[in-house]
Amino acid sequence: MDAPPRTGAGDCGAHHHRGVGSPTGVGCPGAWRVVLGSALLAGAVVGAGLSAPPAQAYWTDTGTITSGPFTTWALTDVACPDPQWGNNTVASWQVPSGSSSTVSVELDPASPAVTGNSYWATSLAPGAPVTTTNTNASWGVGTYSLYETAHFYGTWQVVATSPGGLWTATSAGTWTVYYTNSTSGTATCTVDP
Amino acid sequence: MGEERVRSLRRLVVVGALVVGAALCGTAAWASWALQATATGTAAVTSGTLDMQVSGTDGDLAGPGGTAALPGLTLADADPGAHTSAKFTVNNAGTAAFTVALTGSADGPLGPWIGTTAWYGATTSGNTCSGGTTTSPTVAAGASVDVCVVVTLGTNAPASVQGTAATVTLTLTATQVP
Repeated sequence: MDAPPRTGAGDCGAHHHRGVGSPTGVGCPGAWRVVLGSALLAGAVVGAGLSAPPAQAYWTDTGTITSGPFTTWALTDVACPDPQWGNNTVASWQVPSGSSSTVSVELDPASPAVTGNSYWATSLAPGAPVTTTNTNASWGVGTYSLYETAHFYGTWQVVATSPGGLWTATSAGTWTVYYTNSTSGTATCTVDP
Repeated sequence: MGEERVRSLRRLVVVGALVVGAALCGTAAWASWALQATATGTAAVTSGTLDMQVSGTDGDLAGPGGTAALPGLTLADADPGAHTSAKFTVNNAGTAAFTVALTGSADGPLGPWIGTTAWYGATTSGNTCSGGTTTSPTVAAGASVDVCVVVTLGTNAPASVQGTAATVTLTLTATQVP
């Protein structure tokens, strides 16, 4: 007998020398074993689900405790009022204990040089910053000349460092010392916003 | 044997396999002789309680939930790395033993930069804790455990949080021990 024609995808691929409609049909014995096994497995899964143990739950109690205030380090209250004529300019600020601050002053490049008859009134001068644990610093420009009329001006800056050294904060401003003569004039100081 | 009969037979086999599988893994039905009797006791059956309370704080968290205050846990002008500590006591006022878990959080811009660590069975030592362990012991009914907590401003806290303030909240969770 000739082998039956292939029916394409889906046929068992076995060489069953039986035609369509034969007493044993077009059956593939291997496929039925798969179906039976799957049915057994499906039934096992369903049965296991129906008899699964109940979920466990434990008692709990929760409460909260709130702390007191936590605040962080900061450079605050920076001030530099206009000095009375004849007094040095004084900048002041607040930092927590244990902090250090470095103050520097600069002369504007267009300002007259502080030289000859004029001089820096304190140790704080351009190129000579002061590091301190204090919370204020002062500077000024004096003169020996009876006919002084120079207008000196520049900037100032304070850089504060936290006790652990990991934080810094900076504040800056401008200053002027305007001589009308050796004994009179005006002086100003500002803090940048 | 006809095609139809073959198909019916196969269906029957499949259904039977499903039932057998369920029976093997599920609860099997049994039929047996039984005899019933009733026993009554004189003692009432009551459930236990889980009640975590605290002391050394303002407020004791009696009953479920609650809020207490620990004003001694505070820190002013903190810069990165600064820390403080405080101690309180967890008391088991119920009948079920439990373990404790503590998590900390802070509000506002400082929140991401505040860290908390709890030490069980420890005491305060300056602005840190001494002794103890970071794993909660089992607190039996009627027993207590001291908890020392350290709160730290992280060393990577940015300059943008200078001059800010926060309140730290400690959340305590007691979980029954089976």
